[in-house]
Amino acid sequence: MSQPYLSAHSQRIIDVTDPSDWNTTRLPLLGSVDSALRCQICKDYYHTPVMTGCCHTFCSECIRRSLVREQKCPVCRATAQENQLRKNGAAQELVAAFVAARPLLMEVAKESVEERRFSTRGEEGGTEDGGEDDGYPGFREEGGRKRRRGRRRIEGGGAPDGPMESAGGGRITRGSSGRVGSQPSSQPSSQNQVICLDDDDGDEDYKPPPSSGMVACPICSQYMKEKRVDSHIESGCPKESPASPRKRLRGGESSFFGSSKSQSGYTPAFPPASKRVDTKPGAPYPNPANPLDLHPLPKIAFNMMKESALRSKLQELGIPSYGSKRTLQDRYNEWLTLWNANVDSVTPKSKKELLKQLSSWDAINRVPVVEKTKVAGWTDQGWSESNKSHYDELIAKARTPRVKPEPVKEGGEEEEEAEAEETDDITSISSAQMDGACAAPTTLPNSNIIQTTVLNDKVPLNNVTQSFQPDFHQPYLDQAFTTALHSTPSPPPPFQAPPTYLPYSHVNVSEMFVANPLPPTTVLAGAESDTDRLAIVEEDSSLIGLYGKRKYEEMEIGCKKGGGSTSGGL
Amino acid sequence: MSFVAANKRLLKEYKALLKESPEGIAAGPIDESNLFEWECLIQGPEETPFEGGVFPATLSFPKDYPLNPPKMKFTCEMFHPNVYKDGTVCISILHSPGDDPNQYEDASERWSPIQSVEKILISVMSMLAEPNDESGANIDASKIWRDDRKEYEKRVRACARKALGLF
Repeated sequence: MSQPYLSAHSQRIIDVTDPSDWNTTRLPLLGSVDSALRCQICKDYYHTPVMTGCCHTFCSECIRRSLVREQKCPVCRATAQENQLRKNGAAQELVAAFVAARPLLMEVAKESVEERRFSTRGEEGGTEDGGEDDGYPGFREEGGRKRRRGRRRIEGGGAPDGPMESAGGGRITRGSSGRVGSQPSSQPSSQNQVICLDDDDGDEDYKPPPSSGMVACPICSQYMKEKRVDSHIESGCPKESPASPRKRLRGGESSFFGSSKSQSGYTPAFPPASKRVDTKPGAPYPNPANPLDLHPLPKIAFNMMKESALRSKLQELGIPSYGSKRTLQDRYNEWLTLWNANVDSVTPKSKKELLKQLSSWDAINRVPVVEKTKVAGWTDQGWSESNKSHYDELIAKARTPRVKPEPVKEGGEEEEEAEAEETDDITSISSAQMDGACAAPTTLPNSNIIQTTVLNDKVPLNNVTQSFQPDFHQPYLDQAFTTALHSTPSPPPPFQAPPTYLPYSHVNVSEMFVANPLPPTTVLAGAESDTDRLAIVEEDSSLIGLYGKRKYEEMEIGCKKGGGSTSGGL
Repeated sequence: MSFVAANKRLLKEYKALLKESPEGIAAGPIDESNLFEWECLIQGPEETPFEGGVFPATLSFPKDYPLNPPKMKFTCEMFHPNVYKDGTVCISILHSPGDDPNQYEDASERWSPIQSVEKILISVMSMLAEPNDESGANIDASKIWRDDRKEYEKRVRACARKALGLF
């Protein structure tokens, strides 16, 4: 199993447990038990198992993460929601029991393979039960007992009254308590059957009722002589005298959880079903093992939340709050997953540990989450080098022309915006302009464009430079601004309504300024306003109001500067 | 989403495949230090023109595997209606339910976190045997497959021989 020549990675592979481990043992059927106790998403044993509305069980963390992406059960694709998840206590206890027993089970199962290989006598009959039962540590520790396999054969194991020992101390989980009956095999079998019906919790001193005329009260289940029952019931089920056999609860009324707590310090991981009914997100499970009284976090409708609000929400939670809104969303979702899975957990981790997990998530997700593993041969550096000239052009482009021409453009575009809102034209022309600008930045500096277009009023519409055209002569500048101010949609008479033009479509703006941030020194008023505009454009709401106001302020500056440049051209 | 979880799960799948892989399929990481790039070999299904060929392919897993499916690409020449000319496999199990490029796939056939490498490779094997002409990734192959089955078989056999290096 641990050959010295194996690399670290190979060793890691061997250390991973898998249902197929059982294939080579004497107990290959345990492979299906093993795989039934595993989450289908992470293929590991259930860790804090929860059940969906469609009754499929997953690890809390796995299914929560999956539901963030798609609100469907991964197995049956039924609609599933986070708030429908319920803890699956039975699965958790099964996993705990099986994981604890696994190494021993495996050892025994392998041993028996070797035994069989080297021994001459066949042990067909004992294959399933022998090896399996011996694996339970609890059974092994029963003192003064011979090997079970032998006994089983003598007594015909498998019968429900098979006298298996199960003193309370040796028991690990509820799972093994199905095998009850603390009486030694000397007891008559008829009595053993009575015991088996019992939910015996290992009272050593309990003696089954003598068969001579003792009956149970139908109400309080106490044993008494048959003739006493009537008077007992009439007097309201008082405690029977100590002379009568010891009081004993039976059937469904007997509190399993109460009695099991009393022995061997075992506390159930989950409250009884009756206490588990109302589990809304706001009302966490009454989880006795969860001392911190953690509350699950709610989901956030990110569309309804502004970035700043989200940022402060993250700060409030004590998790990192840097990054774009998208990053913030992803980070919140990851935190939500980690946190709520932790709330489900019987042994919750500290917030510090969760933060550690989150920071490792952050480290991996600096790049967008959706990014797949990169194609072979791709490097960021290689890309930036091979496209350096293009980037340089863009940077140079962004730096040089913005100071002077900006006001003129603003003036023109402002007028247009006030006059006509033809969104289709806006995007097409502005993107055409950007293309043109990118393609030939050195031959056509912006200032030149402005001057030529101002000189030639009737430039053909399809000309790219058209977009820079102020479309009015100096005398009309003032009028244009006035119209813009009052938002009256009447164009100056001598000219047709100019093509509407916004300097940048959304995409272009972000590309320009995210990819090539302008140094604050090179660009004065222009850069400032552009950054602001970017922010404004991104917040689609109140676009018009803010934008209009900003424009108005710019115009006052632009009026002087732009006026100067245009008149120079004329 | 969680890199660690993806790594662990890939390790488990690798181990399971090492112990027991379906007939005609072999798969594993190219380098055991990077579990996100696998290579696999698929045997041409019997009684199809692919019979006798062994086709190598690569699997690239996303960091948030198994929430997102891997990408599969044949590294040999492949002539099949559902394989792009660059070798990329176009099959519904490799499409996450969110994106449906062809607008025809039933959500139940698509990727879900409970799928596995083994299931992908089995699906690809059956795809080789039975092309899906509703989604043509390679239009030429789709046309020939539909109109001239003999020509299709001839070209596929040539492909299989090429994959074995018999040319």
